[in-house]
Amino acid sequence: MEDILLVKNLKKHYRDVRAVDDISFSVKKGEITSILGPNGAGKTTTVEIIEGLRKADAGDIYLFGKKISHIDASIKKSMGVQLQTTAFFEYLTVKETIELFAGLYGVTVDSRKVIEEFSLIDKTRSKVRELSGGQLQRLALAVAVVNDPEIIFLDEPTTGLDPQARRNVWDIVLKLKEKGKTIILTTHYMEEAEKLSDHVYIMDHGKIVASGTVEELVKSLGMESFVEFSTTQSKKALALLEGDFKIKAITRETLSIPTTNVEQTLHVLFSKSHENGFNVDNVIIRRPNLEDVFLHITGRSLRD
Amino acid sequence: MKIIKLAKGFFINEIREFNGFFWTFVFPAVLYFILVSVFSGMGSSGISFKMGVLTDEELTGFGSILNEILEQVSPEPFNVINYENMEQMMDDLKFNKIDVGVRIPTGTSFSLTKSIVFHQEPAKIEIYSVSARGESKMALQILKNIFEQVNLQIGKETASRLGNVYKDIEVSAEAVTPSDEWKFSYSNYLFPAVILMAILSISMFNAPIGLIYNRVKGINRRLYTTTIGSFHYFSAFFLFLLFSALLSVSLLYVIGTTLFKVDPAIMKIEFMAKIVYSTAVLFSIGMMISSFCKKYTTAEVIGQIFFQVFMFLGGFYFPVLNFDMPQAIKWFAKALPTTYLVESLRASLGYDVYSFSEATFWTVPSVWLGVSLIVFIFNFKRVMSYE
Repeated sequence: MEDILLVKNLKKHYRDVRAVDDISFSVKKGEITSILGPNGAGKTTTVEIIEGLRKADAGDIYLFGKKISHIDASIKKSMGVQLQTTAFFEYLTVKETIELFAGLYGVTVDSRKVIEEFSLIDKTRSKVRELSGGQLQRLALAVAVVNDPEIIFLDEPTTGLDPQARRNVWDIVLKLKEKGKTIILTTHYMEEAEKLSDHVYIMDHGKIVASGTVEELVKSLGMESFVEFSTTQSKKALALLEGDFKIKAITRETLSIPTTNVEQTLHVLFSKSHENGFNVDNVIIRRPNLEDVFLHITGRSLRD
Repeated sequence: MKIIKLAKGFFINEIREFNGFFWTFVFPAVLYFILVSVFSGMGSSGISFKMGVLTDEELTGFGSILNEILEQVSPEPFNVINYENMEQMMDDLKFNKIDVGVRIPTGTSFSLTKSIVFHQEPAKIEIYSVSARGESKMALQILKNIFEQVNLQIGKETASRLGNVYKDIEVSAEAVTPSDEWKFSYSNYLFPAVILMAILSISMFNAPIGLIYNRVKGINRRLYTTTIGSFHYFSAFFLFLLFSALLSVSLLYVIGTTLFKVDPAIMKIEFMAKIVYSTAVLFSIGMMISSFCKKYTTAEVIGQIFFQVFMFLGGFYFPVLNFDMPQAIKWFAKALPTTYLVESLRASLGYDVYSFSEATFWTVPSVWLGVSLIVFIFNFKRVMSYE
């Protein structure tokens, strides 16, 4: 599949802060590409440079196969953008907002169809200020696609939403992919990146620290599973098991053991528990995820 | 086309917000009503009227009673101004320089003597007033009352001392039509001020607060992700301000012409051109304010200060430069653009209180316009919030 976007050696500094520190990446047409990282990793700065809202200090951007020096109106016509902070005219209705943004792109849309598509039909005549967080994000997504763009930038589209609203947004994003849209998504939610992404770039401190499909990234950890359990004597358990495993404390009472052999790990765990008298409760066996990848690479949690 | 669509968006968003709608459209109209209602009768409640007196003969004998009456009513409730000829007195009455005119014709002393002593030939006094003017009507009424009291008093004295029946002084009241060339009307005087206040409100509040609010809330960033650039955005915003001002001014024109019968001179191109020039000056100052402030709450405070100072020290409602103020404040008031803008508009209606020269009308506001535009242009990128 062809690269719709190619970024080379992109840099952006704010005084002493390297917001974007010499990153390169590509995005394939028709895929959902996620940039995953904690707050302040440089995700938003990166996409806003590509959107034309910020100027890069250095680096090249190739869009639709052409090197872009300036994001002009003709390029913007083929881009859809949903910013991290959703800001619309508060006193315009949903319908008016969609029609206004369509007008700004010089296109006419069947606003009713768009509103239906984004499950806002009962809010057609509601003012923007009357919408809930989830409804507002759906409107932001509707506005982002009102010009029928080829490439869509979604900057943390589900931040601050409840689980139900988040799932609704995910469904919409997947539908957009089904329509052949290319989507670049920034997020600090591991589940979101896992659920939606064809390709993931993990960013931290302005750098891309890992990339690949979710499967590739998880495999790169070199382990198949995690055995997690809770104990009231976590210090004792940690000291006793450290010689056998790369055990880590997740919380004060929860410990996690990465393993490629679950059966053997459980055998050792229960033997030591029986022999040394520490309790083992709430045992969970789970597959590794992007959170583990991030933790493995940076030594920090995504939520830190 | 997209500029017009965006300007329409700005406008609809603004008028649906109570604050925006109230301050832009309702408040100027309400203020106009209130001020005209409160001050249009200005002077009528005063205790001193200006009374012109023309005496065709030297009052002697019983005629000197009239001299005593005139002395007793002066300076309150009448400030007496003596005239040499009728024409001059009538002109001053027509031009509102006096509230009432009293003519004591030749032969009054003799007539008064005959009416008291011989019960013959009543003395005749002529009083001239302008019925269309409240102050004049009131002065006439007071004078009539005074002469009734005088007649009663003389009548009593005559009956008791001379046993005669006194013939009352006849007071003939003549209505005078005021000059078409000059009629003081507070609604006329106020109209330019209310027009400028409406534009000032949009300039000092809507312009800077709108620009900063959109920047802080990220509305313009959202717009820049479309095919809208910063110049489109600014043009649309400017168009929205202009349209708001046009609507607000039009509303005041309708109220002024229909309800308050403001001088038709407001329809002249000269007057309208001055409004356009004032709009340019005040808008540019609003834009300049947006260059200084990072937060819209700061812009609200600064806008409020500019608004109040420009309005009150600019002499919108009273000729403040004629007040007994410290010289420094007078100079400060003279440095304000609104002092000249409102005076210039008033001059078109015949109310140039300060008698500035035509050049002065343009010079000071032009300096403000130039400086404000330069400051705004230098800060344009920052105000529009793009790198």
